[in-house]
Amino acid sequence: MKKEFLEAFSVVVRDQIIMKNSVEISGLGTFKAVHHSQHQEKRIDGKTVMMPPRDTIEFVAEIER
Amino acid sequence: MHIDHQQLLDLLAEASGLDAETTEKQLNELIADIKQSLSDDEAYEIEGFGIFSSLGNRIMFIPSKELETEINFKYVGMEPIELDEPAPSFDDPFEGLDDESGAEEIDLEAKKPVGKDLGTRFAGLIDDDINDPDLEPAEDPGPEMWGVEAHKEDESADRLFASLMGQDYEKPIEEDEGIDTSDENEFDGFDDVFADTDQEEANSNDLDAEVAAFMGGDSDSEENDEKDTDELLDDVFAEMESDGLLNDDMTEETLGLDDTDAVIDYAEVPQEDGEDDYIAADLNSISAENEAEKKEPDEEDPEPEDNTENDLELEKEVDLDFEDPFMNLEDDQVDESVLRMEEFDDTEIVPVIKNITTDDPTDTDQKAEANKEPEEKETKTKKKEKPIKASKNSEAAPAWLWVVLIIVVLGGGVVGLGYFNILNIPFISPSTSTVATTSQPATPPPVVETTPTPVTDPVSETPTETSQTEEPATNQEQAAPPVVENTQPMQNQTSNEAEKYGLTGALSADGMDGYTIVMYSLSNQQNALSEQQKLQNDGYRAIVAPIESERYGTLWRVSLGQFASLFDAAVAAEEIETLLPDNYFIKKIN
Repeated sequence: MKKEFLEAFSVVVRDQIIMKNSVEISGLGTFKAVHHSQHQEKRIDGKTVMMPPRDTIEFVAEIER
Repeated sequence: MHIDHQQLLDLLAEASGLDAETTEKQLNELIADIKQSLSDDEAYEIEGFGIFSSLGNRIMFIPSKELETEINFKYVGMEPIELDEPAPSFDDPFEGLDDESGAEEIDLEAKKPVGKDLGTRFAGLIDDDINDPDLEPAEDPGPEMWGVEAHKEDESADRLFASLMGQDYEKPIEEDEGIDTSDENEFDGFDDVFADTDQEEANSNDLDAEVAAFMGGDSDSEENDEKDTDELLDDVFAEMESDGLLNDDMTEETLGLDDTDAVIDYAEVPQEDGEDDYIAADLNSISAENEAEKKEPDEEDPEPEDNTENDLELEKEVDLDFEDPFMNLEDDQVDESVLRMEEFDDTEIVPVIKNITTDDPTDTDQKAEANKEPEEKETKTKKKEKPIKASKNSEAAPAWLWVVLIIVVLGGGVVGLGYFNILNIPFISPSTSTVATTSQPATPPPVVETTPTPVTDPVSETPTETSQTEEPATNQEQAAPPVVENTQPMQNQTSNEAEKYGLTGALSADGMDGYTIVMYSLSNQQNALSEQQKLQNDGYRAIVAPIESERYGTLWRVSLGQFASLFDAAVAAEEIETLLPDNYFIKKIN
């Protein structure tokens, strides 16, 4: 496996995720972007905090081990 | 949008610069590697991307920090924002408490050295211990054991005790030196003495905890002792001596003549502290009193003649009953531990008796001191007591203050009601005067000129005049318009107080500070007035105002309505758009 390929793989998947695209890798699974909108959170110390929006990457495996 | 495998390959080829075939091969190799490592129960990490891991049968992907950050670049700089005021921090109140406790501790320490001398010396002799059980209830293994405790749980009883105590101290001095109270004093003294000895012997003692409690009590009593005058101490001694039974033992012990440990301790402490004066005074008083009182050796259980009035004689008797164990203690110190429990009871009971027996109303100062002392004790040892005491002190004064406050508030409220005409109060409610003043502005200014009536009578035209009360005002205003028109057309409107602003109805003088919709600017006054007349006939508020123009001379501006704000005018203009020319505009009237 070439280093360029791995780097390219990372970049491609990342960019697609940023563009809210889901990326399917056949035989492995699918990467999806999940958006968590701004929300309030109650912390243990009683403070209410407004959490900023956030995107996460989610991987749905196509296979089972 | 979904990137399928083929699209991914294209993208990869483009990004990596490799040809499609190589890319596909590489990708398959990557997938195979990942599967392999997962099947081997290993995680597979792509640097800068994330980790493929397995949890049970599931395959998980944990994005790397870099990846997470990069896909969130849109939200960079957004931090969690605290919405609430930080809840009252738990730390602060605790700190405050700590400070208080610390201060109290400091006070105790500061006072201890002063009172230590007296306290250690005379702790046993003086009744200060009365308050002690209250002070340290938690430490006491068996609070039930304390007879006094029950009494003192009741706060009123507590105060009573304190006040009584203050009086008690002096009475023995002045009047009853050799009376029964001395017995009680003796018991207390013994208890304290034993407690002290126990403290030193504490290690071997089964009742260490109780001793410790007592010691704490002693310290408090010491504080009380500070404030007590020498006379009090002397009196105590006198009382001690007055009892025939205990005279010899007690005096000797207190003087340090006895060989018992407790006695030695007491003797040593005061000397070290350098209170020789007290000792000397005590000795003198003791000797004198002894001489006087030894003539009456059988006063072990004397019924105090002075104290016969007390309701608690029964308790005295109980105390007297306790004397026996005490005697036993002196005889046999082996029984100390056994008797100690009883001693505690004695000490508590003793204070009760004392309070009853000795009442000295003459000395207010010492009363005050006595009252203070218990308070100080309680505050130092019991935090709970503090607020109670404070409230106690403050209760009396605020009562009348509250009354005054209520009166003031009610009075103010009534006057306010009167002022605003809610209540009719002569001299306060300005009802008549205000009405007059408000109606006055409606009256027209002096008539300078009278002009023909093109302006018309708004009264007849305006449909809004319903109330009779307003009619006189409007009638007066009718005369005004002509005046205004000729000199200042701005004021030619009749005022309709009911509607300051509006599109229809009569013109209101008050509304002249608002906005109006300007329809025309005419060079001919007659035309303008006729336009106004027409509009007024249609029920609108029409204003004719002269405009001085350098170019065209005087123009007569015909406008519609009186509005509180530009917005209102605009809304009204929208509604009557068909009536208005295209080039209408909205302007402030003045």
